[in-house]
Amino acid sequence: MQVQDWQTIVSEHGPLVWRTAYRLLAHHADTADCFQETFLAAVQIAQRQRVRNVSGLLVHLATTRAIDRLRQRGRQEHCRTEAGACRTTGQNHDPAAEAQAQELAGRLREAIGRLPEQEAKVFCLRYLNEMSYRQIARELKIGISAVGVALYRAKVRLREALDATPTEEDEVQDEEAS
Amino acid sequence: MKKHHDRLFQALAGLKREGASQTVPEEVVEETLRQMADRKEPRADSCPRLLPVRRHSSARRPLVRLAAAAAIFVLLGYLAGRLSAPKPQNPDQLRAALAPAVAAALEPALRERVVEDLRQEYQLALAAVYVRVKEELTAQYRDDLNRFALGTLAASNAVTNELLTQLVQELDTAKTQDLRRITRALYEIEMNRVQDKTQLASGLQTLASRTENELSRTRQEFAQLVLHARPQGFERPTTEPIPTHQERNKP
Repeated sequence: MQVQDWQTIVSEHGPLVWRTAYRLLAHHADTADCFQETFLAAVQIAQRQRVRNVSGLLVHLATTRAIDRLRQRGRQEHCRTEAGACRTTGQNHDPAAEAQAQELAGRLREAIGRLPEQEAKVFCLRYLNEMSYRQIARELKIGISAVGVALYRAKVRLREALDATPTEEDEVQDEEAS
Repeated sequence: MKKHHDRLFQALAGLKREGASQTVPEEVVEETLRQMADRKEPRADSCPRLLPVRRHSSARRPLVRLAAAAAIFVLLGYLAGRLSAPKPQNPDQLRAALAPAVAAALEPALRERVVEDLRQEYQLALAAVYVRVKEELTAQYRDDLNRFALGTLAASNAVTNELLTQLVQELDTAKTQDLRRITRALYEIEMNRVQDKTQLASGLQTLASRTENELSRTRQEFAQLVLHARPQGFERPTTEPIPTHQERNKP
């Protein structure tokens, strides 16, 4: 499928790209930069080759840009998460639980920023964008087994970072997804 | 339930919730479309409506601009300084012209400096004198105090000894008087006891004598009564007189 109208693509896939970037960055200005960079990179890629899955490509690019910015934050030791941006929209009205969830989310962002790039991409595409192993492998141009290995390593590192214990159901879910 | 307790998935759920309600701002979309239009580079094999992309602006461009602006400012400043610099004058004339003004300007400062130096010297001298006088007065005061303490201690010891002697004498006097009183009281008690004993013995003797006399008299009266009331033919009993107490006590 050749890209026909970027305005339509932006209007259709823009919210997905924005959510993908915002989940990782939680910062309006950074998300806006990431949004623009994603679509500009998509344009460049579309000029070089045919794009079969626009959504997957955009999510991949947005995730990559957002992870890059997360890694830059980690190097600069400067977390720019907006104070009001982390407000959750769930049904949890308990302030303590909400604060705990925000803290956990922030720690997860920092941990993702410290992951190796490939593992961070695989983890975000799998768990934040809910892509299958096959889709991830196609987007990243790696094997499915490599996706599984990277995902396993990423989860181990993140659990160590979050000081959590692995669960069996998670592994069962991964097997089902693969 | 295990998954619910996994902190990793709790954090993931939090991340998903944070981004769930986000919408793309219109200005971001417009700016993105504008940038995509600016970078439009049509290719022969691409669709005409495909928005092109041009290269990202280099990150070094702001630095280059900043360096160029700084160089221009430095150059302009140098030129302005060169053009606005005054021409050199004769040193003698300049010195003669500036001498009164310099002298007038320096005189108050020098005077103030001299006054300040003198004040500091006087203060140092006064401080030294103050310290010396203070030390001398302290030593003298300490000596006087020691002397006074020794005299006071000696006088206090003498007075204490005298008072102790008087106290001992008064205690001895009181003890002697008490012993005398006790002895006199014991003597009086002994005299009273002897007198009471004598009186008791005398009373007992008197009582015994009177009792014996009365018994003798009663016996005689009883004998006479028996004699007068004796029937016919009854002989008069022979009675022997009972010796009296005085007769029994005769040797």
